[in-house]
Amino acid sequence: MKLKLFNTMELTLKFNELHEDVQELGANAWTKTKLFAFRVIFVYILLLCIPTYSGFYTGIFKLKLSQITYNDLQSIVAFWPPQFITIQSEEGVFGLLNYINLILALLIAFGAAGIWTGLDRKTLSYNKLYYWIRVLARYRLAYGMIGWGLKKIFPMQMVWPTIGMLNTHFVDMVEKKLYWSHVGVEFWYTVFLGFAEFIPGILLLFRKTATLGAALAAVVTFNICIANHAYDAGVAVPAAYFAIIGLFLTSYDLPNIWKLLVKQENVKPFHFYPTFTKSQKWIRFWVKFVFNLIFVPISVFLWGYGFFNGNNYNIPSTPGLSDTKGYYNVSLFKLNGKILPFNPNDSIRWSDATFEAWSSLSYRTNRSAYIDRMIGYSPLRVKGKKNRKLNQPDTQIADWFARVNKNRDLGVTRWEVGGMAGERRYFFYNADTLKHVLYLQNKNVNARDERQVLNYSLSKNRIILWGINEFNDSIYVVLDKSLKIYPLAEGRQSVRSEF
Amino acid sequence: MSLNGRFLKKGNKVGSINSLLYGVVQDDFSFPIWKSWEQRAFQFFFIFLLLLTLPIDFRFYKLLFSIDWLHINFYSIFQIVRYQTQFLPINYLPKWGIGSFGNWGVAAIVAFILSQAWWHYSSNYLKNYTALNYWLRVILRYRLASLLIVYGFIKFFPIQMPFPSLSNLVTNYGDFYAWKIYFQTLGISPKYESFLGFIEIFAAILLINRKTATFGTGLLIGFLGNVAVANGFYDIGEHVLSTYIVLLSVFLFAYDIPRLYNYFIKDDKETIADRFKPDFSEKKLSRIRLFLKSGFIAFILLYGILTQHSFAIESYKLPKEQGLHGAYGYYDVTNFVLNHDTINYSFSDPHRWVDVVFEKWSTISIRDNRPVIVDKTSGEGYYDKDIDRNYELAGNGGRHYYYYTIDSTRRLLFLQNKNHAKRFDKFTLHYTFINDSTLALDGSLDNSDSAFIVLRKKKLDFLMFEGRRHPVKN
Repeated sequence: MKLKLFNTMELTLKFNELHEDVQELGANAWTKTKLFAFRVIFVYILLLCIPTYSGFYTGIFKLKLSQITYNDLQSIVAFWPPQFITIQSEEGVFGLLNYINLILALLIAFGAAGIWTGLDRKTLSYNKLYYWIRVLARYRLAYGMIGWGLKKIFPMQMVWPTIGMLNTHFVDMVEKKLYWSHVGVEFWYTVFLGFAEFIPGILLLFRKTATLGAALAAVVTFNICIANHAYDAGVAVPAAYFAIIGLFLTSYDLPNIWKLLVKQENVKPFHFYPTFTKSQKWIRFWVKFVFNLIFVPISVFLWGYGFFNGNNYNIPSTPGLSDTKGYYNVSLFKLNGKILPFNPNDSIRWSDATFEAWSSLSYRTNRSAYIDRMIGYSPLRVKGKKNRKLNQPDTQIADWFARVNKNRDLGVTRWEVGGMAGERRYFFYNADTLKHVLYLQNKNVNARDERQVLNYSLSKNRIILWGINEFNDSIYVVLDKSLKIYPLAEGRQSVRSEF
Repeated sequence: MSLNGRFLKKGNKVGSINSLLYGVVQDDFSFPIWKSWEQRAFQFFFIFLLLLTLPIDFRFYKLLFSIDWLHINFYSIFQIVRYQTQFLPINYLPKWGIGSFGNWGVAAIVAFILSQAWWHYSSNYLKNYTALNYWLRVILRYRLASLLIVYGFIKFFPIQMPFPSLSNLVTNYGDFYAWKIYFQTLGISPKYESFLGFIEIFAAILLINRKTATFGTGLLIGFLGNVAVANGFYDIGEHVLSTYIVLLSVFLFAYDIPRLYNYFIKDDKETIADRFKPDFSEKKLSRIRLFLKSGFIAFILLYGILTQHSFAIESYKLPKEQGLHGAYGYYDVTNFVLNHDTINYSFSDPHRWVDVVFEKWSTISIRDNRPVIVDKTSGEGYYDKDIDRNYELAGNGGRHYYYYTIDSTRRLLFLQNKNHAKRFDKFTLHYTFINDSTLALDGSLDNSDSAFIVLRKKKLDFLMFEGRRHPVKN
């Protein structure tokens, strides 16, 4: 079609006509702006949806099928957006500079789109490419949402407070700890939040429900992103990154939905689907089948298996001394044979003690410690030996301990110990039940060398400990169980109101 | 087939209710015939939802007319808007469980009976409820929006979940009810609370526009976890109201589901848009509309301003009188002498205080070894007197709370237990500041002849304030 240039108005009219024609034909030719915008978005989403650090691939090759756990699958679906630079400052870990890599990726996308535009002047539309980038984004988001959802459906990410936590002041926890705990105190709420991530993930797997899933995922992850900023929880960027992918997928249908519901105009959706040959169909089926099998039913199975078989990544699995779980008052405390009277301000004398269901002893003294700040591991912020000061990647290494046939519990300390003030110290213990000896080691990642060897004797509601403490002093401690009932455990609906 | 003539005789009976109700339907609108199950479902929901929504309860008007418009505050409006019709007085219903929905049961039974009669006595089957459905949706949209506005603003200006008081900060985690933990966790991040409030207000604004209502309800459903579900799981105590919010959201969202279904699932065909566009060309109708719309916007503005005002001057859940000057802090009880006998630190002695908090306001909280009777309310009422402002003690099973007044010339503190079950617990203490961080109290305690107590301020260098950003020794 030739356009005669009478005046600008004529041109605009003609152009609009052409544009409408083209739209009616099923968007055969795109406008130049649309072509350029697509190239930017294509490169951007591609950069976000493909793992760009080598650790991801070496991790996959190192997988041993016989030892596979939910952690392995999770590390595959929870890969991070590319990390071009690492900013070690506080702002780089918690603040807006944290987004620098998402912004750099966008700049790169603009650059690449510029070159692409220079090279490719013939293509009229990218319906096919658009289709494939959506497929990639859909599955990336879907598996990610499913993985994050499963750690709440089988509540591991947030769990019921330990006895140590129940007896710790509200203010002695960091904000992230409080945020996670407030979810953990309601088991079924945690499960609900899990489904709020899992269901959008499942919807994303089906072409026809993908937009709905993407919209839900975008709303949910946007909320998570804001909450992460509000509580310094540390995964704001990954959440924002999911929200961006969700928004990208939603934008495919949003103009039509707006037209249909707000403008009340009939719409005939233009949904492009490539045609496949028979062999392509066969390949498509099997690729889809295998990936979905691994990341949906097998993932569900592995998370469920771990949850029900003592591999909760926030709960230690070595059982504690039988029938000792509880909160204890310290009735008597002798240091090198000398009685120390009860005083909550004493830096050596224990003012209370707890035993958990698992092998863990905690006690409170008036002495500070460098605390595990519950930051955890994120490859985004840790490169080799760099940036380990602000991040603490070594507190969640349960799987590594398990692989080298060591007790995993010292790698499961982030929940029990992390994010809480140092006055309460947590010790892992190995119990020799024949000789009645506890071999204790501090669980705090910053004080792992603190060890104690204590003999024990158990009687009803009383535990007596004696031996050598972490300062090589001899101690003798009598613990009496408190029959405390917690309002949190009893609940508001219970008839009991006196605690 | 057009059923226009059956319902709509525009111009014939100008001013009658019928012409108002049906006047909104465009002249050229052709009424599709509703299937009989659609008609019956509509008849039921129409009555059921209106019973739950319309203010048909004398108590509502009692509340309305008790407002002192000269001294109005946000809470009077808040209380009216969130009021739900009680066919059965709420005091006679169980507070928890299915029984707490007793009024819904009544509404459902009445709606069922009336809708049967409606179906039976309506003269012909070829019914179409487009206009009635429109009006029903108008009522529900505004009802939902009004609830979101009143709850949204008290979060946007964070007074619904105030920052936890010092006493609550130094209470053990296990000593709270779950709802209190939920409230306090939101309370420590006023910005996040404001964000959630903003989402509710934003959804309300989408709702008062007919065309964007579906987006508003969709947004609400996306934020369900924060609104309604949390209410259910945490025993927050507003589960009937929050379920009502969900019910309205789902009902309103359902209107567009057939179109969304066609668009996404039957995506090879053209999706037909809703053809109903309310016609407000009739003067009387448009005047009523203008009046109601501007009324609603005035309500939003008034309520917003009142909430902001309340936020600026005081947090209504916390007491407002000044506490003892210079005493704010968390105290260790270093000496405790009762009847001239010193009682050392103890985890079992029933008299010995363990620690004490002086709030910035007229509250002292004491931890000792005696059991605490928990205030089981949500502490959300608006009370004038400080002693009645009970949010700080509600849901806290770890500390005893006392309201106090000061006689600064004689240096006396008059304390009274804030808990309703223990209001008889009153005593008077004489105070002396030994230095900036040490406070001595003496007087009569627990029926003793004399008590002498020395308090020493602790540092407030808590981990929560330090945050996670730097390595912390704590």
